[in-house]
Amino acid sequence: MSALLEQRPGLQATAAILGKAADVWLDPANAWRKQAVEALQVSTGFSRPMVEAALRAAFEELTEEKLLAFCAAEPGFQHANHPEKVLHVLAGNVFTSWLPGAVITLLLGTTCGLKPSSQEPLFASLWKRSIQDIDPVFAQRIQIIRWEESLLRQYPAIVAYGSDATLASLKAQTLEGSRFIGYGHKMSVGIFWKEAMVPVELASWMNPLERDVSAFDLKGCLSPQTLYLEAEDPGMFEELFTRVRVMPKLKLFESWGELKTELQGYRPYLSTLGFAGPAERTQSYEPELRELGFSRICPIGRMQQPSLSWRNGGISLVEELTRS
Amino acid sequence: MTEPLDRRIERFLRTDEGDFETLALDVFAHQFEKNLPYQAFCRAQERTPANVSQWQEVPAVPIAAFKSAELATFPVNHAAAVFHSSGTTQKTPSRHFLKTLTPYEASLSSGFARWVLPDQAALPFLVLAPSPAEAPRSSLSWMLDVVARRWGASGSACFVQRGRVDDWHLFRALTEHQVSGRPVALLGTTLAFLTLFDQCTKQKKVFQCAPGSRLMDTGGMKTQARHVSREEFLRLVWTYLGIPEAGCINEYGMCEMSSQFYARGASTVFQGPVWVRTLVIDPGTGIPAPEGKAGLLRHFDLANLDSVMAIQTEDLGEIQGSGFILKGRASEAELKGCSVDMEAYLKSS
Repeated sequence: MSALLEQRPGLQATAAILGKAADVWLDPANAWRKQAVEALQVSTGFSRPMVEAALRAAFEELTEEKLLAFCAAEPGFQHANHPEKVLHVLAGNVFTSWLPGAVITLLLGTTCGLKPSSQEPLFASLWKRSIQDIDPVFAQRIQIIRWEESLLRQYPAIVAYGSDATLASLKAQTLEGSRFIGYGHKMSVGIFWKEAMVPVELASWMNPLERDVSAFDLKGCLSPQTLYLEAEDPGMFEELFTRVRVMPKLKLFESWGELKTELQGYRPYLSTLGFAGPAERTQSYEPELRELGFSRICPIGRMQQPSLSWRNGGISLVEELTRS
Repeated sequence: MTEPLDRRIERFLRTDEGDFETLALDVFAHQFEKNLPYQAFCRAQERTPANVSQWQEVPAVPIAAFKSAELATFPVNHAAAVFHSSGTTQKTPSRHFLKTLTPYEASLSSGFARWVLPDQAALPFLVLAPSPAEAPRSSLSWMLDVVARRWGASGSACFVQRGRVDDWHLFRALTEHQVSGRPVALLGTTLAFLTLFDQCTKQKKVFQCAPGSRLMDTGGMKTQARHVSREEFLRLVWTYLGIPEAGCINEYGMCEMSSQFYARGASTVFQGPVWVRTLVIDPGTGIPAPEGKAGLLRHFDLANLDSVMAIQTEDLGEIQGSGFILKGRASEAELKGCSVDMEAYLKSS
């Protein structure tokens, strides 16, 4: 770590500022944050608990300690090579999805342009303001950008979020030779192995499952759209349905072979697999799950909270932005 | 002494006389001051009455916010009425809190009289939507009840019971009016009319409503089972009820708005009253789309005095002359999330 900090003296200060901002967003008693949550309720259409859960999941991964640990573990931070500025074209109201990318951009020492989505125009500005209050000079490295025709041609690197069609259209507008990193729409699923379907065991999975299911009304790429059950539901999933706005589909499967065939149908879009039951069972299928395209495998309850080191869609943003 | 804002709005709604821009900025200031979630939303964009000088700049709330926030300038437990959206797929409906029903009723009456009763005819209103007793949170049921009570002649009645079209009583009423040569006004959801036409086919019934009869439908052409174009719908109305195109009016409204839009006959261009203005927003850029280009409709409805005037809908449309045409709903995935819908993907692959 110390060698890295010698090479990049600004890194510690950047991590400290971003970490302090995360602390603000994680403090429910903070008056400014209360206002921000109220505004986000309006701009996202999500309930207060849902907005707060999304903020918690995002900012718990962006504390100073975690940022520094991430930088130390990523070889890309040793490189001096990175674009002078990066534009992030943000997507709809899964409003925190772009945050890890923006943070990585700043940790690399790059200026970070954020073009908010017209469906959720607030969160990027609010995040910038939380940083401005901590260090107004540093905050100048975050620029909230309005759309203009030539926008994409002004940046040597663009990170964009959206459907395949949106990404293709954005990419077509970039300069030749610029870097375009597209995060397309994805889908995630949950597996409940039969060991987890015993009522006593299953009861302990219901709160973690509710966390994964309730986030973003199941519209996020990390939300389990289908839960594959290795045994009949003893009635607990039905009960969950009374507490969440949108419930995933439930599907029974009898064997790994049957489940694998089913998942193969979604191969290009699979993102995260959440599991309930023995980790060893999941691990035994891990090579096949990776082969199916899952870039993340985690216990149920953690699906919405990827760490900064997750290679979303198999892409390492640090590597992409620092390769020569 | 300055006339209170609610009086100025009410006069605009009743007489069409008022300056939209001035009133819009005053309504914005009122809502900014009293509607606290809206104030937080505006402040987060650094938009306040001090720096907003044109109605187009008034921050528009995404329509989904009506599900998550209490968007009102008054304590919602004092609401005179609360209208809920009717979506069956959403467990959390939109909620529109109304401090009083006066602006809503004034706006409704003016638009309805102009579009459905320009001749001030006294007609029996045959309503194909649930009554307010059956659907107390439905703005459509309330709206149809208001107009039926105000203008409906004897013989007016509601023909939807427990969610089903009561075709037996409706057929009997249509027959009686046909025999007596008395014109009628049929008002209801597009879906209810399609159900009625299905019953007409099954029971081999065809009516010839008297000249001067009219039909107002609302709620769109899309049913879960089939898609019916406007032309096809008008053909069915003519075939089964004998009401010509000129007697058909299509209404577009939503529980989050106090005013409605109308289109007549085969025209698909919806027109609103003078106290409503509409912009088409390019979803990619967030700014008004060039004329002739489709985008998301953003309505500014002065009759929404005590909730939120500026609403960003999820309806796609295109400006045409002084109105707009509807082009459906923006897809859920584009609007909301970053997930590929598993079922839709399987169907498409």
